[in-house]
Amino acid sequence: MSDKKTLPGGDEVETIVGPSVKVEGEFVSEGNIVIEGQVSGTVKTAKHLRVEEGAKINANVGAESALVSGEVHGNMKINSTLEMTPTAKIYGDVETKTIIVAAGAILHGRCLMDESEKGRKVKGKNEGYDEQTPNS
Amino acid sequence: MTNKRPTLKTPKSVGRSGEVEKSPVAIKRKLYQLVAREANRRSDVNRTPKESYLYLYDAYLKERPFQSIVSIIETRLGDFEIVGKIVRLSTFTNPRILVEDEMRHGVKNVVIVGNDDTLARILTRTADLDVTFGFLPIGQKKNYLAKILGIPLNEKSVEVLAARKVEKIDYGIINKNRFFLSYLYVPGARVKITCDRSFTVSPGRDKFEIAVANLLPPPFESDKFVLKPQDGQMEVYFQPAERGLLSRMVKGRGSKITSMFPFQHLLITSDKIITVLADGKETQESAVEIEVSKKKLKMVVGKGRQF
Repeated sequence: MSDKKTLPGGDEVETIVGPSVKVEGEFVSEGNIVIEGQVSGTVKTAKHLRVEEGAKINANVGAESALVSGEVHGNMKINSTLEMTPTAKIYGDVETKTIIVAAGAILHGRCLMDESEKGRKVKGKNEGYDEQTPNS
Repeated sequence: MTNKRPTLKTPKSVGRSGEVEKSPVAIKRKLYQLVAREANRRSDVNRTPKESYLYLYDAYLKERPFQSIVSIIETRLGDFEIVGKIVRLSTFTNPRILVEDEMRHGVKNVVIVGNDDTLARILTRTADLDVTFGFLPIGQKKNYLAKILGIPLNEKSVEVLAARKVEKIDYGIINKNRFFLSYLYVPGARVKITCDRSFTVSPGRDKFEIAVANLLPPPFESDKFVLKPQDGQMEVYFQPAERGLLSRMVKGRGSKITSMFPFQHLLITSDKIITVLADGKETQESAVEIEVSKKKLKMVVGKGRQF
């Protein structure tokens, strides 16, 4: 379908949480996720995550890459690139390989960047954020 | 018991009473029986491929404009040697009982002759049966599924049926008692949705239109739908239902964005009774449970199918 939303990588969007929608629970997807509403619990995807302006996440987040323009309360573990736009607000620890922070973005928490693939995988197994609660 | 077994080795020459039949009449009778049995066996062999097809004709095909098309189709089916038993559907026909009965008589292929409504009427009751379904779309109206399946309309559809390219398609099971193939639609309701028993989606206080698409896009924002009827999952879409002018001015158009979630199991619950439209059939439900049956429906499709 030609009018489908596409992400920077060109992949088709698989899951969209609209602006007036609230999601609760273990929100796991194999495809891309776009969040424009509210999510609480856990967010995990094997692909790209986009948090739009106005969106609010109260959850630990795991994704391959992420573009944040909204608000995240929770720890984020991003395998490749985390990009924060001027409206982004992250209240929690961030673990990623590459981070892009625009002027005006807010990050309250530790930022851990391990460029070694091996170290990242070991930490992913032993120190993953999945078992922690948001804002811990 | 005493040993009174016949002493002859060949039971063919032994009568019912155990005594040996030697008369020419008896021999002639045996010969006739053998010939008749062989003739029956041969006719069975010839009849098998014909009987393995069952054609279900919709009632509207009796009307004059369609009679000539049906006549041409029957001739072409004869050319391709895929003729079979024809059953004309009536209002009271129970498709499941009918098809199950014919399956006991060796039917392996069920060909639905009619339009989208006919296909939906049959498949909502029989999709789980172990037969291959074919479709011969007749007429120009209500034949959107034919385009999706890559089947040309009217007499040209016979070529697709004869080519017999079979694809396995997902279908949805609603409340464990009926099936849907094209889409399910809830016009506007305050509901709570649970996807894959792991997370819930609450659309807030607004009324939402909800749709689950498989083969056909539901009747809203149809250009955004993804039709993948072979991926083992379906997508649920929802967006705020149409509001009044004042509400639209206050809230703007931003909240009209469609949300979309893939799922294999879905539960739609509501405090009130909701209207559910699945494959053209409208029902009133308090809860709707949908389970995806992955690639279970065997369907003859054309090369130009849209999935």
